[in-house]
Amino acid sequence: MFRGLRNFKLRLFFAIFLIFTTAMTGVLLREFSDNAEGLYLDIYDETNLADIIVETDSWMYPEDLFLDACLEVNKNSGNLRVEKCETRISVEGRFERSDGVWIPALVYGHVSNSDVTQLFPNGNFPVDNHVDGVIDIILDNHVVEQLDVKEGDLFLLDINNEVNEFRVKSSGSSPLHLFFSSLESFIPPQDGEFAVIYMDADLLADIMGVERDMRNLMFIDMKGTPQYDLQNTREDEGVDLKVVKDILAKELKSSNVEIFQVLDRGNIYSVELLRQDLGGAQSIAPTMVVILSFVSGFVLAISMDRIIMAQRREIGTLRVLGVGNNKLIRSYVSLAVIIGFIGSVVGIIVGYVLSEKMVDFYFGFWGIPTKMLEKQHNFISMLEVGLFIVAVVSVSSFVIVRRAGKVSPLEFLRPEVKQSSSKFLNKYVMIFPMSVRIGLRSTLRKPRRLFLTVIALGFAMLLTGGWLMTMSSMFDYYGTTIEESENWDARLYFSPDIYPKIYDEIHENNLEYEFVTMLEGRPHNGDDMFLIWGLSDSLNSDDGNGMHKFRLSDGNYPVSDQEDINVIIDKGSASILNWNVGDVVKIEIMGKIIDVKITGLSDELERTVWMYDNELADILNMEIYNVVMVRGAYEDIGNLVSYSQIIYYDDYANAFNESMENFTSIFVVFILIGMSIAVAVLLNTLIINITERDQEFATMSVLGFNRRFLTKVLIVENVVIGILGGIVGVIASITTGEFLVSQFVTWAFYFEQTVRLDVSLAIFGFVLVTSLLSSLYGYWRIRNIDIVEKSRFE
Amino acid sequence: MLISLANVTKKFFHSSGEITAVDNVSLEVDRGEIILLVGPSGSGKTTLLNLIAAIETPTSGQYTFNGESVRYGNVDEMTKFRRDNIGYVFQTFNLLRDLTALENVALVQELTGTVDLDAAKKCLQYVGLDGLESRFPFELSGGQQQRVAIARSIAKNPKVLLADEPTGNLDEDTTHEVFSTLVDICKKNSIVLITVSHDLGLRRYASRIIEMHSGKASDKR
Repeated sequence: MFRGLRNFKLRLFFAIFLIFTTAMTGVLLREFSDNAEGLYLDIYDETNLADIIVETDSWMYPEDLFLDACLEVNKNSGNLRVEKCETRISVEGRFERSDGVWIPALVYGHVSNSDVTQLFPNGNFPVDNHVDGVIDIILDNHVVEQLDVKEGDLFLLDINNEVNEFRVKSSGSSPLHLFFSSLESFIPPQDGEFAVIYMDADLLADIMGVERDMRNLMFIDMKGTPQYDLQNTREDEGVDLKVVKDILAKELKSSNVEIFQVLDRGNIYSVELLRQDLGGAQSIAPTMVVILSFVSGFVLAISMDRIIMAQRREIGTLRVLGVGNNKLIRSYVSLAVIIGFIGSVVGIIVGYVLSEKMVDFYFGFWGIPTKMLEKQHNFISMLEVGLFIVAVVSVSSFVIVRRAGKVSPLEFLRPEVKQSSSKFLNKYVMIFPMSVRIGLRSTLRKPRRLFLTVIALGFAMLLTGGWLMTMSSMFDYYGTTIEESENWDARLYFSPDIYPKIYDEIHENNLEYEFVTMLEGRPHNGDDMFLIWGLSDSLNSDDGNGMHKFRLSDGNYPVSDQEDINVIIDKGSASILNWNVGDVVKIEIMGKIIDVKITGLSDELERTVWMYDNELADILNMEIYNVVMVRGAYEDIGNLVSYSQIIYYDDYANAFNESMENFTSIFVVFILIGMSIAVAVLLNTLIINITERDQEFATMSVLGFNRRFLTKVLIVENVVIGILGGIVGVIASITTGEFLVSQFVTWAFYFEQTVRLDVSLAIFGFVLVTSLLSSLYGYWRIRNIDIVEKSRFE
Repeated sequence: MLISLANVTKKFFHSSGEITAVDNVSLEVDRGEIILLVGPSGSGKTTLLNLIAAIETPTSGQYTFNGESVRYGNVDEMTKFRRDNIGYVFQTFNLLRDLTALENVALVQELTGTVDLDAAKKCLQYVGLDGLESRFPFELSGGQQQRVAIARSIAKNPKVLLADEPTGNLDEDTTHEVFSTLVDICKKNSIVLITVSHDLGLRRYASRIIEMHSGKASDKR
């Protein structure tokens, strides 16, 4: 019986190819997911990640004040106990690259023997102080890799306009900067454009010219591993931790600390990003394996069905001769098992070989230095993928074979004449020429076959269409955001106390400017962090000339001096928090809770709330500015650099575009995998349809119909199938796209699914064109058909 | 002379060796002849029929139709030859499942470029299927399906009607009904009928019997 399979070489090849691709994709995704999990657990284990972080932005307070607040926790909290409290300093500065270019830097001052949120690998602190008058530091692994820095290299660091020489003692990575970004942004700077430095806290205080005990950060390690509020869920998982945070906030306020934030692990952006990405991978990996396995099983089942129909005479004969039903079922199911086994084994091997590159590529995308990775292979996981695929394709085939097994042996020996066109259809196709009529009727005459064909075509587009929809949605949301919303040449970040100096410099250099108060805030009783921007000119100019141009999708600009402070919020925050224009909501800004009224929603990159600067000053009880956006000649802007961190528009846009390109690379990988699956499913299904027409075409050829007529019939059929399959493909793509977008969207990285007409048409066109292209195979078959053989009853 | 085969041979080549299905057959057929092609299985009857229909290409020999040499080798020319001259009735009817009885008949009218449904209906009436025009093949009995196939084959007024065991799937009563209809039509329209059959009971309808044996043909009447 298996000898007859030589007639199904192409279809068997497609079935094996599908299973191979499913296994390969499954192994790649599982390997990534397992490695990401390993890295995530390593970070927790090795770094002793803080459960709570207190930060006071650029305001410094004595260390005892922080530690006293920490001690209060054990006196008042219920279940949770503090294990250890540690303080830090963090300050912005500038790092001189070997090519003489100054780049923004973030400098952390660690206390001796620091243990909470430690660098890894461990053992870097304490750093020796003042060797030969040069200060030793630890340089972040990202910088070491990106700038090719060696241990012992010397460089200059500018902190508060004080330039000192430093020596690289060693390198390390911080869980705070796995995703290597200067701000809490998903746009990492381009390689070599940002540095993070870790040094002794006392020395840093000396350089800053403050008392050695002054701090602006505290890390708290609680006993055990308390639950914290996950950023990508609406529930508050960290109820117990919230009690601790409230105690800390109360203590800090009673100590006259005006500006502070109490955060938990969920706010450690880079770890949370990795956790959410891991969660996404852990969800997408099995989902994809299940979807692809079912696609493979479905396609193999269709193929088995057709193989059985094609071999029905042999089956009927064997059954009449007394061969048992179970024996026949076993034969066909064992064929499915063999196909599944071959495809899976090859797919697993190829997936295993490619997995290291995939893991490198993916972690490279997140900016995680590869030296931090101890790549592992999970063979159990691979085996699970293989077994699952073999099980699905075997069961799918079993269902089909068992159904055939119930048919009487004599049924197999009769011609297949049961199905025919309906009278209803007959009435409506009469207006068409005969070739179109035949094509339409033969396509529509078997609803079950047509349904399976169209569903298979829809399945074919699940992956490639879904990823296309997701990619286009992301580009729709982010594509031109920077060009359309940012209208400055440079954005400078500076310490509020040097505001007068910056102001003077800007005036001396005749630059256009807008000062901004930029702080962090969050919804009251929520842990999702957003930026709070206090500004005025941009809120008053809807003429397109503001430094930041709002793209209001709903509502209006805020009006100042209202009962409730008017704000614009970004659309992502509004969507996730379920806030709308006109709502009065409570937000928390540096420990202060206020009511604000949302007057407008704006399409933006980051989760942000905008309000008038004077109203923000009223909330804070002080007028502070720490950011300025400027327009002017670059050489004039360059004069301001010594006072601040600077981001040039071009660098910002380039970094953003680079991120988008990285995303595109990932999408393209999955789209290509999906496309190969789609082509295999499409061709397999369409070829089955074509080969089923052999007898009719041979008969028509004997009757005198030429190849052009037969090809016309075939094209009509494929156009109908292509149109129906294309529609189902678009629906399947939208559905998968929705699922994928839901997996991608996080608090920090928000976008909406948009169903674009051009993408829908592309998906539809892909199915239609593939269907039409399969007519070429049909034409080849018609050209080479053995009309004597094929016109006989099969 | 309508059909003239001169020393026609057809060989099939297999990995196991060469098979001569039709061996040096010469045959001349006049208009209006009703020929029964008989012989044991594997004797080359169907192959000879297919050579006459220009479905198969001979390995050697000459085929002249109505005084003109048939151009084997060119698929489109062979198709055109069948379209213009040959009607074909299959043992398994081979009706198009998606077309009604009337449309199956009208289908071959497409080949001439003009579809005349009235003429197609007349063909069906001719074979005794009046009133069954709108039925699909699965709604017809075997005998009725074969009658539709006969109506289809005559709808384009062929010069030759070839039938490969046209009654092979029918019972005895139906066999004679169908075959007498077939012969009647051919006689009335001066169509040459060459039919392959194992049924010796059909001898009485034939004007000539050709027996095939191991690829060789011999006239029996």
